[in-house]
Amino acid sequence: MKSNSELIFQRAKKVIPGGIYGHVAPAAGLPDCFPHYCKKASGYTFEDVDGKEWIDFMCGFGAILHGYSNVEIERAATIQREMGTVFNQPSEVMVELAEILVQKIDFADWAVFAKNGSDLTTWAIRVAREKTKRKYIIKAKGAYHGVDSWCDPGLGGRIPSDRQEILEFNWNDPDHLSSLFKKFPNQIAAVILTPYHHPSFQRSELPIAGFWEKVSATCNKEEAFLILDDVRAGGRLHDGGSHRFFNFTPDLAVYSKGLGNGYAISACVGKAEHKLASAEVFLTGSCWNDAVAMAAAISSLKISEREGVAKQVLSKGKYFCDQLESVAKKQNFPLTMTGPSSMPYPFIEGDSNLFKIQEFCRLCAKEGLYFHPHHNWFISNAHTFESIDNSILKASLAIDNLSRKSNLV
Amino acid sequence: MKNDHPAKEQISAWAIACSLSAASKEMIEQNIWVQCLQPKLQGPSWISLTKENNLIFSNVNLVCVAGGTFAIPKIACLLKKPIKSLGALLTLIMIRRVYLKKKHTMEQVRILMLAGLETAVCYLNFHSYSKSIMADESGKIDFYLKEEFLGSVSCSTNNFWQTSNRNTQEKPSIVVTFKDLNTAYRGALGKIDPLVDAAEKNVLIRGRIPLIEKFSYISRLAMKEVPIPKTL
Ligand SMILES: Cc1ncc(COP(=O)(O)O)c(C=O)c1O
Repeated sequence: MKSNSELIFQRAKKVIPGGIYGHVAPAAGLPDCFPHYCKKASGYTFEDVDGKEWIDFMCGFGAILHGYSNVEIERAATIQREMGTVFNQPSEVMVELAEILVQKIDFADWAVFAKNGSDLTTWAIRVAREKTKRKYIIKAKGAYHGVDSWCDPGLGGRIPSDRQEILEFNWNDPDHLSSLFKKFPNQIAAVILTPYHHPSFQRSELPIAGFWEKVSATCNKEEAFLILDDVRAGGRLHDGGSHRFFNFTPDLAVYSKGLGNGYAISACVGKAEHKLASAEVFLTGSCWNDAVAMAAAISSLKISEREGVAKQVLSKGKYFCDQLESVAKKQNFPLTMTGPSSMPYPFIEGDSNLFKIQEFCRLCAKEGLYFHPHHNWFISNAHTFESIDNSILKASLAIDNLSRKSNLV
Repeated sequence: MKNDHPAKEQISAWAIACSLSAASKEMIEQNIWVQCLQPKLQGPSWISLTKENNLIFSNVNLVCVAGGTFAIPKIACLLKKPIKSLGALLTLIMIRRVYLKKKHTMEQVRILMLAGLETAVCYLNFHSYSKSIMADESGKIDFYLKEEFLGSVSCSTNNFWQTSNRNTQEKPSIVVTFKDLNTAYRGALGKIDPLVDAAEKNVLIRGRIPLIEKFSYISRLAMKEVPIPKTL
């Protein structure tokens, strides 16, 4: 008999290309027992459409920072929703949200809003081009900055000119970065980087000592923008933005995932000296003035500040990573959690082709743990130490089962 | 075939020739009486399907042959060794029959899989956009129908991709397993929907996913440009 997930998918594939697309597609290499559709979620758990409850470690791919259906945020959203969502003009909450961001983020003098990270990573590089009147953008190889044609990881719909002005350097190699500035003198508008390197399918890499200093110095010297893409990490490393965690100052920074705790909103903040240039680059969208998402973001930011959420998720994440590594070690399973503890990426020694991590996540899924084999995981502030202990027990069972399988490639 | 470099406008015709060759070789392995096709480039506009140059088509006509339309080979070559030429022509007819066979068998799927992989490999090696996509990739992809090995593609150190019908000891980077004959048949013809078939577990893919994503994109691109007998 087909599950509800499968039945819904049968309908979906008739009317939606691929049935489910993008990063949530039940695509190659994911545990075959992952559900296709979710029904509801609360705190650190969600229920799929077949009634199975999962302990979640993906948090809506990072969009959920305070746990699903956080009561305080939902209340703020409901109050705003009763007054309306999108109007002919922006609402006061937009100004309030901008004020909060400017006050919270040390280098920020202004803020603008959109719906997705991609909307504003693309807009930010255009601001840099407007101000510098230069065309090239440098990014780190393998880094994700959104779905637009200058940076998306897909292969379809590309034309050669899409990336003609996009240069790439290897993360943690500031000399490589400098060499690009030498090769294209006075032609680089901006360097756009995530606070640490979190590509999919690969272990995460923290910046080596001196990396950010050198990158900042190079951008300064060459009068190029340093754009921080904090879409994924924002709110999970430091409540004032991830640049504070690594101690550097960008010109512009983009946030989205954790900002609205599941309500669609993104923000770009910047230094005063770039305010005029930013006003020259057209920015708007049908529902971008959505007051409900802005109210949710205000509430989310207030909770982050009041409860020191970045520190909390880092410390819960550390407990989780330490425990998981420790049970793995006891079971001779060479698992290392890479990257910051609040958003760790699991890496298994000698598993360059990912067979073992895929099998590990499949076995964990059977235990009700939602671990992704190819993407960094996320800890929310709704995770409790008890829920983590419970998850470690389940993961340990999965490791046990895995060690009985000797035929993994 | 390894040292032949087709001209840009010849890639799809050359992919057809290579895939016909792969099909003929697998048929010989299966003790089916056919001639081993060993294609050779004859300048930028012509391709010989045999070592002895007795069945030569223009690029355009080879594409017609593959699509199932009647096309005339170079007559002068045909007349030099008419019996051999006839053998090669019969081989083409036999291969076409394999494509059209309605009741799918393991033998059929194996032939078509190797032919399909050879088409993709030709693009990996010679098509400049496909080459650029695969620039940083290497490794080995194994294809199975349930537990049965169908074929593999791999990249040697000099960036040259090749197919094989032998299951070697070399560890794969990717294992692609088709659920049943029908799915494997679709796979061989490039008719897999990467999202739907993965979601419905018709195709199980394990291993280094970025490699198979690139490979399957290129193989779909190749299959779109390279005609096969109208089957589905
Ligand atoms: C680092 C980074 N930048 C940009 C984006 C794009 O954000 P969005 O998906 O909201 O467009 C993402 C999304 O995952 C991201 O992780």
